[in-house]
Amino acid sequence: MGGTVAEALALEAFRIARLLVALTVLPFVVYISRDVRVPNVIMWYILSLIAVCASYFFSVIEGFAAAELMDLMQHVSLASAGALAFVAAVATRRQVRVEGDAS
Amino acid sequence: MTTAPTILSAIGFVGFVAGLVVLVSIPASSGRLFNRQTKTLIIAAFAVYVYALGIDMVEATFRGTLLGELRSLGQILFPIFMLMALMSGHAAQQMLDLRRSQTALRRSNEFMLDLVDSSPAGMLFLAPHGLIVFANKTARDILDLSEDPETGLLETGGWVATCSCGVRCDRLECLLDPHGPGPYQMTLEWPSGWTIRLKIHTEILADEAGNVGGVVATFERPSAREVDREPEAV
Repeated sequence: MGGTVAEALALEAFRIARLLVALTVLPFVVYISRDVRVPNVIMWYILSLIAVCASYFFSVIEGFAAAELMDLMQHVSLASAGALAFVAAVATRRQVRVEGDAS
Repeated sequence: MTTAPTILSAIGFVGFVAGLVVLVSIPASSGRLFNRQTKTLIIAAFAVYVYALGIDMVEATFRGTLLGELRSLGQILFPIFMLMALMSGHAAQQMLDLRRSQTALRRSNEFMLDLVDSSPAGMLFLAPHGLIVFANKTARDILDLSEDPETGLLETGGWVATCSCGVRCDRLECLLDPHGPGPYQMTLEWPSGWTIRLKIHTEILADEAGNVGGVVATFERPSAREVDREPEAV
């Protein structure tokens, strides 16, 4: 019993730490991306990262309230992150092609 | 039984895998934003997350194992790799801008130099210590200036300049100390006896405090009348 509680607390601590790391990185990503000249490409990567952060957030909330809903939201975020990551990669390929044609 | 979370996880997994495949297929170029470094970092970010999602989907199999624990590392590394990739792209963009501005500057410099060289008038710049720092093509021809390959400084052909006021100098340094309004009549005499007379206009370059930075001297190509050859000794 004690072991299960300790494991749950450790898991929760890891989830919070994971969320904190992602939330610490996110402002830097947004700040630097403002200077990059291909916003239509960077935007998709940032949205994908935000979706990943959201999934981390929902997984933290999952441990405290509305476990089923939060679990679903977490997976919805993950699916969105994957879809956005694919769009970002395609946008990158298109951008590289445009740059190649221009030069 | 397939549940909604499993399907959603699978969608995320497939999205990242497809993105990874697309990224790998893009050629990286050193002169672009998507250079080799940026590409590697984005691929690393996607790869660690593919791994994390893959393990997530079959969590029961890997629970408590090293591979299962590494999933957590992948989840933490993903945003960090994304940040690094973005910073790499940003640095590449700055390098690209720098290279473009250097090219533009070099072209502008070459254009200005061509412009000055094509002038029929001789133009030269004297540093405060009397050295001829710059001379256009016409001035080099008239004054017989050559560049020392070791020092890069312009050397005279050994002539001696004499101002109309009688001051003699080896490098036109008397132009640095203006004595009355110009232009100045200068006579240049080569050791061989070849003599030319030049009418030199000067413009002193000084900062706001009055510190002289040098003198720009311009002169026209001497006419035949102004070029003398001393009669050779019989």
